[in-house]
Amino acid sequence: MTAGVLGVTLMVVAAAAAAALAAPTPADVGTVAQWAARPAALPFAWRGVRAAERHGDPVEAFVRARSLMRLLPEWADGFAAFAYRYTLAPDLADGAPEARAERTRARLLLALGWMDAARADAGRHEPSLLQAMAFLPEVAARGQPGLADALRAEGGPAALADRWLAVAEARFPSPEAGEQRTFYAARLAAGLLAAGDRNAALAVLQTASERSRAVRDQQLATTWRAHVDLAARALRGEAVDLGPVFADPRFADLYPHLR
Amino acid sequence: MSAFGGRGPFGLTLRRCLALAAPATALGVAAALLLHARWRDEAAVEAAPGAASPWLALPLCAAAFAVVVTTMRFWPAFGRGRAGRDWIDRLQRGRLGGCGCALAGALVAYALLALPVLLALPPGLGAPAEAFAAHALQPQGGGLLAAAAPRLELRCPSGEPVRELRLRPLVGLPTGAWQGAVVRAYADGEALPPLPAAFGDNRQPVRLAFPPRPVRAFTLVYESGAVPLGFDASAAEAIGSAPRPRWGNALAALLLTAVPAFVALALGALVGQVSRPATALATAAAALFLGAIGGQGPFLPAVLGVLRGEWLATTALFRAGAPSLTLGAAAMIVAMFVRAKVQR
Repeated sequence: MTAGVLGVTLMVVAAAAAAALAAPTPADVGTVAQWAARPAALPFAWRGVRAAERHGDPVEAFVRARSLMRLLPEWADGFAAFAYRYTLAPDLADGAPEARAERTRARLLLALGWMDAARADAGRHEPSLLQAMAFLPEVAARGQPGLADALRAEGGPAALADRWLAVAEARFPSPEAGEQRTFYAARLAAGLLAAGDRNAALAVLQTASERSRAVRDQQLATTWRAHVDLAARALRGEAVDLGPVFADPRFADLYPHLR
Repeated sequence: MSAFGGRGPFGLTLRRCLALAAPATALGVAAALLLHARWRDEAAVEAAPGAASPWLALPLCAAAFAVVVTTMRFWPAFGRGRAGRDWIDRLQRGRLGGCGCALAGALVAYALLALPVLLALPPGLGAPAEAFAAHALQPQGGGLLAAAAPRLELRCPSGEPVRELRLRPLVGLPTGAWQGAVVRAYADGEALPPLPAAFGDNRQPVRLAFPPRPVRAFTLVYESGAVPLGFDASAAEAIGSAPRPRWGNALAALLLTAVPAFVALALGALVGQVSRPATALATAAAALFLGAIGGQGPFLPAVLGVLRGEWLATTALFRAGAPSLTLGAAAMIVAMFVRAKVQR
């Protein structure tokens, strides 16, 4: 037996033993195959994304980005970047503003669903991915007139954002996550009021007022809580002096509903 | 030995390429259909047929690689020291030892294999049924549109009626508090509907559809904003209104996608005059990889154009293939001189 044949035989035996010990599932084999193919496929996947962007077609760029991100499932920032780019890209199709808003809504929900699916592989970057998801509805609503109305069935952009902030707070409990959600209450209440749900808005403000007692900077929280309580009382129909609330820019989204 | 007869280098290479490359192409088609079905992205809100370009490129690459490798391994003049090379040198007329005719046979074989693929596969990958020409608009003057230079004329070189204006300008630094540039478009002096968006991002695409009409020149008027816009040769185009047939686009794509195979075989013929067959084959394969997969030359733009419904028989795309064609032609000319010198 030559040394070459002996070496190959040893390799085959070692590989068989490794396979028997590790007992890989089909999913494991797929993961290894993807890992092995990644260096060869990545340059072409990137080039495809760039070509679509040069052509100016956000839909093609997003479809190609999805293919690219299958090769990079742990890259949370990449998911966020491509999802934002797709959702916020100008709508190239013709149509009435309502139709454009409806298309943007579909894009937004698709992008959020895509990022949600990516959370499983995001690891320690999951909190930042959740934050990106929470901000996207509001950012999109600012850029596309009519989107807030189109998202009424989902509770509005603020309710969508709060949903992901709540997930972030539950999955990664920390003072920062809790405070972020607490201070988001004014915007969420404004969104609920715009959707005609006054009771839910009042419940949000009341909850936020109670949660603010756990905020680390109590000087800041006390002022903020006083303004929240004033706004809630005004929404209940009580006659109150809303001057301090109107002087606080953190409550700007609530102004139209308090006048 | 007759060059183009059934038993000459052309006919022999053609038959050999068809016999060996047809299964490779069929395998490429089957793999493309399987992979497309496996990874098709149904989730996108709107259609994006251009994203399926890998699945059209795959069988074309398979055909091109099979044809090039078969030709390089089949015809003895593609490499020194091969069995049969001496016979070819004595019997084959012509200054390339039959390499030119073998190359022609290989390209015809590629055409016979690739044309059905280009005709049948794109509809299955979601390509639109018809293609439309995109006419690049020529900006006059410096191509600058800003508050200080509020008018810019874009000449439309084609007399064909157009139905859509596509703009993707460069955006400069703001001259004051940031405000997107609001632009109004006119066609031969007649106002078009307002553009659907202001320009704020670099290369931000804006499309404006209007009833088909012949246009000699578009005029853009800068109405408000704080960012200057720059229009280079690729920043504005008008889309023609006349639908072009799919078979015409497939033919144009065939010519463009054959360029890498031509360049690879031409370089293989040149290197094969002075090198061993393995070196010549490696050179040809590397050239083909660069042209077909590496994106150098018109191969990938042609594949994308077919899928996106862009009419390919335009001077711009064929001009993009000129450097590759020049390289291939130059390689063949040099190969003639090298062969003559080596044989002396």
